[in-house]
Amino acid sequence: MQSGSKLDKPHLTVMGESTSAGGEFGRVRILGQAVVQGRLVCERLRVMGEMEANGDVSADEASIMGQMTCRANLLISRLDVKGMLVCDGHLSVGELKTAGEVKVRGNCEADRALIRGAMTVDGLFSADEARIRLHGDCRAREMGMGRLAVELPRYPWGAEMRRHGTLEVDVIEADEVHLVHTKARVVRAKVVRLGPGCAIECVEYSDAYEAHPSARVGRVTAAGVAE
Amino acid sequence: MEDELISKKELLDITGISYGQLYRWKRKKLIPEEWFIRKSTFTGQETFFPRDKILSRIEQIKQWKEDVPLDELAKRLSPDGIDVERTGEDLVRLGIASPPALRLYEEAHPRARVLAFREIVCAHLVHEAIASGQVSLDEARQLIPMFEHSVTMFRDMQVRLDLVRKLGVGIWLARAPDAEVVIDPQANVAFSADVASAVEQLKLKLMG
Repeated sequence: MQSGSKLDKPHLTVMGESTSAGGEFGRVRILGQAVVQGRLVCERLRVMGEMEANGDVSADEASIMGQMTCRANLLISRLDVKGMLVCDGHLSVGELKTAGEVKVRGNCEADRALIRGAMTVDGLFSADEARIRLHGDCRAREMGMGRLAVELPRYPWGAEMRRHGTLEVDVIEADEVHLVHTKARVVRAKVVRLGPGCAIECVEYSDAYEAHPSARVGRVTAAGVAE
Repeated sequence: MEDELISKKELLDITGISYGQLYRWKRKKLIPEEWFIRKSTFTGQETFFPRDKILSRIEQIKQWKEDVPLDELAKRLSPDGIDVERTGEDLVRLGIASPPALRLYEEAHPRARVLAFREIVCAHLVHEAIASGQVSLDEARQLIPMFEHSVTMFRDMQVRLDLVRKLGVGIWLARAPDAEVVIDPQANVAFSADVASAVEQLKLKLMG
């Protein structure tokens, strides 16, 4: 472990294997294996190896290319996950981008989210704007969104991929939803657009509703959602 | 004890807000997590809210959101303390504490010239207690150490303070706001103060 002080705060770099007590840092880089025992506050966090945090972690910017496990809450302004992230508490992010696998035991909150991998949220997944590309299987107990768009992954030349995951949610509540390959018990929104592969037990909409012929929908009720 | 509940759907109908707004405000901590009450109904799990609290909170947010950024609003509405200091005269001028309440407080803390937020809350509660007409000066005096002792035990000042009186003997009781207590049927609750809502009002007064 080494620490320098380029800015006013010290940096933390772990190469090899190490344990840290946490604290306040400028940049934190984990290349090997690190266990952080206490609360960690930093400006930038890069995990290329493996990190286990037993306390809350907060960062302005974080990118997880390796594996990170957090036993408590994560509070990050901009988070990019390319590897794997497990969070036992709540995950609060300003801007969330994922391409790997994310598991959240508590709630997941973001202003904006772009999900391109597998995602599991045991609690509420809430965002102003979320876009989910079904590269993997996604699951959440509840979703509360401004706008939610679920779409099939595409090749760079524009064609939709044949292999894709599905989204499984109990309740989706949003202003506007556009779903494909989604299984849900209840969808409530002003504008509901259901694409192919959807299986929804109950849709409640107020402004607009359309469904693809292959979408299986149980009950559809208009209104009920206030402007 | 049990507050009247309102379902999420009814709430949106009455207030005219959208799901997106509701969840955004929840994320910004304008609406506390504890108010989202999940209950089983015949259509599955539904979310309910304490009716009066959520309706007045949403009115407040709607009123302020044009002029105040959401993060700033969250600070005002959250039960956390704020960094303010006021002298006793300021509190009297702002109508937060009356001179007799302040005198009681100064008896307990003779050297307190300038009051920090938590102390202001205490002085205000003493004021409320005396102003209610149900609390004697002596009992109000006992409120001060009780408040100082209890707020450290409860997170974010989420405390309700009750004055329970039986046969003319009053004792103060502190509990979590939604905790059930059963008191001796011969005793009665002479005065009750919700610290969290007092904090909220004080903040609006001190920051507005």
